[in-house]
Amino acid sequence: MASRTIPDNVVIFRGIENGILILLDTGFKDYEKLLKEVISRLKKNKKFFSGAKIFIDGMKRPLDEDEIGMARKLISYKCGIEVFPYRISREKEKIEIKPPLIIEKTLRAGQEMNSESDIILFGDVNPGARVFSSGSIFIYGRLRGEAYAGQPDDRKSIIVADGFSPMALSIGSLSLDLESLDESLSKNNFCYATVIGGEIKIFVVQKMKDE
Amino acid sequence: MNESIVVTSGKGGVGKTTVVANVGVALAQLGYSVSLIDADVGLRNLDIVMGLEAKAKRNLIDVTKGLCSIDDALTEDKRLKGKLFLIAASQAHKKEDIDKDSFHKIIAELKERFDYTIIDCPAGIEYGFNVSIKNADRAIVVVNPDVSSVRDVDRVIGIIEKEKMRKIELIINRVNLDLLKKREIISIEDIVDILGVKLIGIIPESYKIIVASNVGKPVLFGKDKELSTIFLNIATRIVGGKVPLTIDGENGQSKSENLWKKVKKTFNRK
Repeated sequence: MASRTIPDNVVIFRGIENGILILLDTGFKDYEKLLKEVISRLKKNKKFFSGAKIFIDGMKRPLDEDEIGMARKLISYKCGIEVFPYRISREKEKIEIKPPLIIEKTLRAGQEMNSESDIILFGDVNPGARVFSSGSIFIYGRLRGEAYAGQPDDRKSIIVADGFSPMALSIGSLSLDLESLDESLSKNNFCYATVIGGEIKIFVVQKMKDE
Repeated sequence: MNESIVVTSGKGGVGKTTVVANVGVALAQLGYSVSLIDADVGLRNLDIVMGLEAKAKRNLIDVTKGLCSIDDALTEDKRLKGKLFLIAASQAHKKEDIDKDSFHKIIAELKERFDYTIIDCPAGIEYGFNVSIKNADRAIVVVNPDVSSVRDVDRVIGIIEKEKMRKIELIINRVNLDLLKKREIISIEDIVDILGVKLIGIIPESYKIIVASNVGKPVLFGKDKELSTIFLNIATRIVGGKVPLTIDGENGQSKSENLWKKVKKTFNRK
């Protein structure tokens, strides 16, 4: 009885740090057939796989318990190889949101704050102080020092402060032209900086505007 | 009481030593016992400003090296008998020659004997500064109304804050009232807003203070009532008394009050 050949790339063998990872396309309806393909390839290249630790996971979604159980049983029975479950990181499906860094103090001259997550600062950023974030920066106080959001290059980040007179301000790889900054923004106005049309623009939050 | 206070500024030439001398005299005139320590080893000048140079036979390094006792090094200011004493710095040594354990013991003993022990801190933020701040219960930072002094003091406050001192207070020295009125120098409000520590004194630029330092006679021993009052008020605030601050009608407010007001305003807005 001739078996239907299965498409390419529904079974992928990939070298990983600890050994070899077998990825199965869970979209392919015949799971048993997938496993038969795996077994066939393992047998063909027995020498290559001997000594290596073998792992298994799904391509588009993780394998469930039954699928893993079936794979381990069958492969062990047919090839004498123990296969271990694995979880690949699925960054595209689920973005890990890191909690923001909360700081309750004024940053003084010579001090720096650096974070991969958003930064919320209850205090001022004094002249000579610097804040770096891969995300956005929210300052419940005055920005008089330097603020660098969206580092190295995420232009969706924003910078918010109660009073803008920065010594330097960047969002991603874009820098604010300080000469264009309105001096009246420096006191008593809640402002935010955001990238529009490839440029950093500053907006006053009208609702918070002091009379 | 029985406290050590370090007086510091970051950069030099701001008027720390003059402030230490005059505030020391003011506290003694209010009835407190005061010891002044010049920790600016190598660039000794507190005893000169006090007019006690000739009387200061021994110095701080003599004590730290065990060459004499604290009592031998304590020079009394006889203008305020029993109330005001000074330990001069050494001219012949460097700040790195201050043994930090000995310094610590000296300050501890002085604190027991005197109501207030004031440390005239060397300029900069290196070894001498670090030894001084580690032995202080409180700090008074002295700033001039210029942006580079404010930047330096902000840096210094940032370092001192890590020592978890009981209090950090501010004196703005050498304020030129004309320039202030014309807004040609940074305003008192901006200085306090940036530095965010309690303001306890505003000292005007005055040739009288310069002359007084030169002749070794702190202004409180002179006839100028206005200047004397300024220092007496500072001393009163140091000991916890409440005297409103004014400079030609301008008032200073601490940053924490301002920030809280701002934050409250922000959250109360619809």
